[in-house]
Amino acid sequence: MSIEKERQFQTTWGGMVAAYLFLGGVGAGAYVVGAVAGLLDQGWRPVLNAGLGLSFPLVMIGLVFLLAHLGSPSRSFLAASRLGSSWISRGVVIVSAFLALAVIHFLGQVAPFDYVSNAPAGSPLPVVLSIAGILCGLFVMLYTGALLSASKGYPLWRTGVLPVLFMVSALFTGLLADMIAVALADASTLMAIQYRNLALAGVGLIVVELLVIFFFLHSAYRTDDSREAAEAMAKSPSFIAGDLVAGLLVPLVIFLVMYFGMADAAPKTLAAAGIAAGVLGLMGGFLLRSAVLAAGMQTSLEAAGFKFRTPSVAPPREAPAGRLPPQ
Amino acid sequence: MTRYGMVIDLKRCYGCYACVMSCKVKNHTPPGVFWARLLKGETGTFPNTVRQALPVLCFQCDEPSCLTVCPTGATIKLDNGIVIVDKDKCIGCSYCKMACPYGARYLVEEWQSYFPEGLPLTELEVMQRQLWEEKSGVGVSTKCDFCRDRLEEGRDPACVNACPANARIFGDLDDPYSEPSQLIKKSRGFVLHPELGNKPRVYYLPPR
Repeated sequence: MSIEKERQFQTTWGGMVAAYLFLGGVGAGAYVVGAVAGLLDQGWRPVLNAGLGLSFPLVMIGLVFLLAHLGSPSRSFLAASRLGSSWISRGVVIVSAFLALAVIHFLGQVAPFDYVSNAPAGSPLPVVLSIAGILCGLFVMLYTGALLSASKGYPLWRTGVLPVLFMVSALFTGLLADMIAVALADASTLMAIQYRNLALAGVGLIVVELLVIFFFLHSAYRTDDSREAAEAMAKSPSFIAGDLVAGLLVPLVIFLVMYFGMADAAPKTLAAAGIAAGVLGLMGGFLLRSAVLAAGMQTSLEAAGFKFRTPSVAPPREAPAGRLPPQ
Repeated sequence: MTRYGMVIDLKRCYGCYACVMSCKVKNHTPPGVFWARLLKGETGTFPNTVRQALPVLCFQCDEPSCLTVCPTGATIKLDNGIVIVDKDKCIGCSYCKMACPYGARYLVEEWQSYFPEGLPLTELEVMQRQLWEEKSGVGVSTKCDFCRDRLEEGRDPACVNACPANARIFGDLDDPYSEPSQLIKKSRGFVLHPELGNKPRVYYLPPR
């Protein structure tokens, strides 16, 4: 009988959920990076504009993926009913607040509203709005990880490191999204030194993300089930080649070259290098979330010295040849 | 107050799948959906090996993690201890499926044929699909409910009734003198994954 076979990886939360987690993270990360840059100096205004312009559409596209994943999307308005205990309910509130702040901030930057960009000198509005948006953005990033780490059935995900990992990855991919947007819109709006500083920030985030990935996998060695899942994730080609190598190590090299080896390069050359690193890094961010989801293996059941594997889905059945169903 | 629970005697269970089949027949569950499952474990090294069957169903936990994570309140714990899903509130997010450490939840998008792909549903399957959709809905989370309709008629759940070895004992766990309560007390009854704090209402008696 098929139902006694080996345990399998979960497929319930697949590409759609990975896309939602990824786009939610990138959107929030783009806003946070942009808002922080906007607080630094007027010279960083293009990065702020990129963050404000990207955050709302990216998160909204992510929500479309989430709705498409639901079995009964027409009832999704009920999803905020249990704020006290469900991370999905909390997520509805957090994401809604973030989207509202992102829109208010974006409209305040552009004509004819421009109540933020044309705020009188000394007005606290831009700073207050940015800080509120940054806090909401950070909560969105953490929530995408907390959603998984509250899943009791999947021991690999049940760690506090996962929300941190998704937050760092969201900041990194958000930085890349902003960099690509600025470079594609008008590469000359940023000076060469600014591109190099963005590259340096990217180097820092990559190093932190690599460390957090290490801690995430290391923390999985607490139980047999989570260790087995972590080993499966660490050995998967999409994680090694797609996330670690193409998504983190190659951008790390590009950013190091941008910062240390391209001191005299023109902004457009640096922007092109940033786009290359950005595309790879964004792909890596999506593959990281896909790999974490795909490595989900359900808790095995143990009784009286026996270990029972729990299949999450029944294996495909062989079609019996030459037989028709009774009519 | 009656609060239902079950005891499964692993000494008696020999893994015949009668519980699995009776559940499917009674609840019209689609292919791939097993509200009552049977897992088999093995220990030792050949030729000195021992096999053991482990029947599993929804444990109707007192602290159900599926209820905690449900964002809409579709998962409800009844006064009689049974955990049910309100199909009109469920949005099909599968979070309950992810949260249940016992793998008791299923989400069914569509009732597919038991027969190979491309062949139409048989007349019997069409009838089963209709009954399934009336009871459990489409695109929503589903689970074992201890055959609530049978309990209302004063009958035991289908899996208990079908077990040829009397390995399943059903009753009121709040009554210390009921048969399952006495068995748990006298025969070292245990639950799966007690460390997770779900407080299941399905107990097992050790195989030896």
